[in-house]
Amino acid sequence: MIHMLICKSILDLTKLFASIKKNFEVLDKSIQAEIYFLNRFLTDSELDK
Amino acid sequence: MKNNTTMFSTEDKASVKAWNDYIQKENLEYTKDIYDKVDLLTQLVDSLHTEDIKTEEWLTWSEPMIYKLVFHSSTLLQMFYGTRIYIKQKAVTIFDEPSVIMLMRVVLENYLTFFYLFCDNISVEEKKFRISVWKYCGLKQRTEFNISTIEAKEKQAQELLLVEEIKKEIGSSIFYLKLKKDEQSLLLKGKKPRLFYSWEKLIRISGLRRDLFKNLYGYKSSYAHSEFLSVLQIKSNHYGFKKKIKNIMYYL
Repeated sequence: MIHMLICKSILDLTKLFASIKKNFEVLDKSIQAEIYFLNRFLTDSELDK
Repeated sequence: MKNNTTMFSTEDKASVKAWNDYIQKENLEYTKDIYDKVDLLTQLVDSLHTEDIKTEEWLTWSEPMIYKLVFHSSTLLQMFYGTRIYIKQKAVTIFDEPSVIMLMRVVLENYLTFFYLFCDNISVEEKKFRISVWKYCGLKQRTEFNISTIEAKEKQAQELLLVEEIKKEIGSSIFYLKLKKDEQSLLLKGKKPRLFYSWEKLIRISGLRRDLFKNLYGYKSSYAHSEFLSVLQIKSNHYGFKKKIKNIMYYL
């Protein structure tokens, strides 16, 4: 949960600050993908049990 | 709700895989991966300073909010390295699961407050109102502390003026005027920092999966308040330090 909340916070910040979005987008693509997918696991209602 | 895994999209499957890959790891190996993400989060927030990014006053509060999240998360991760207690002057390393669970609740509430104040899909004006209410409740609470030193009394007098100023600002807000009379009264008593949103409602509006958090929330609350369940867990478990504790992986 901690891991996913940290990932979601990172993505939330990219929406709040254009400069953070820019810095996030220059990260290694595999890191970006991992953060995106962990956030998706945390938030995707389709995965509700 | 989907019972057949073949119905999941490619992205759904990738997200499940990302999670499954992590929970196969030992606790300490996994904490290192999370520390890396915490480091990244800190670097991104810090970039606002290093790049001298100018933001509106209301938005500046998001930064300490994230640092608070970083502090609690880091302390929680540190606990996975074991807590030392002394029995007959001999050091014993235990895994303090009740404190981990309690801190997890703090981290979750911190995140939900961050989302509620800064990220919810509402107008900037409404966000500013929420932040004013949140500040008002915090400061009002502090002005009600019993204090004795002259210095503290002077500071409290200054804060009382600030509280009154924010109170006027709140009172003239369209969002305040939309509330029912009894809600307005409760708000001005300074007891509703997140207005009338329960934690469960905040889980819903922040888009977190309710199946992951809803039940866990009540469970974690019992640890914070020393309810019977939390003591029962200690009575029935051994808190020896282990490399991989499966049931606790979900908090990481």
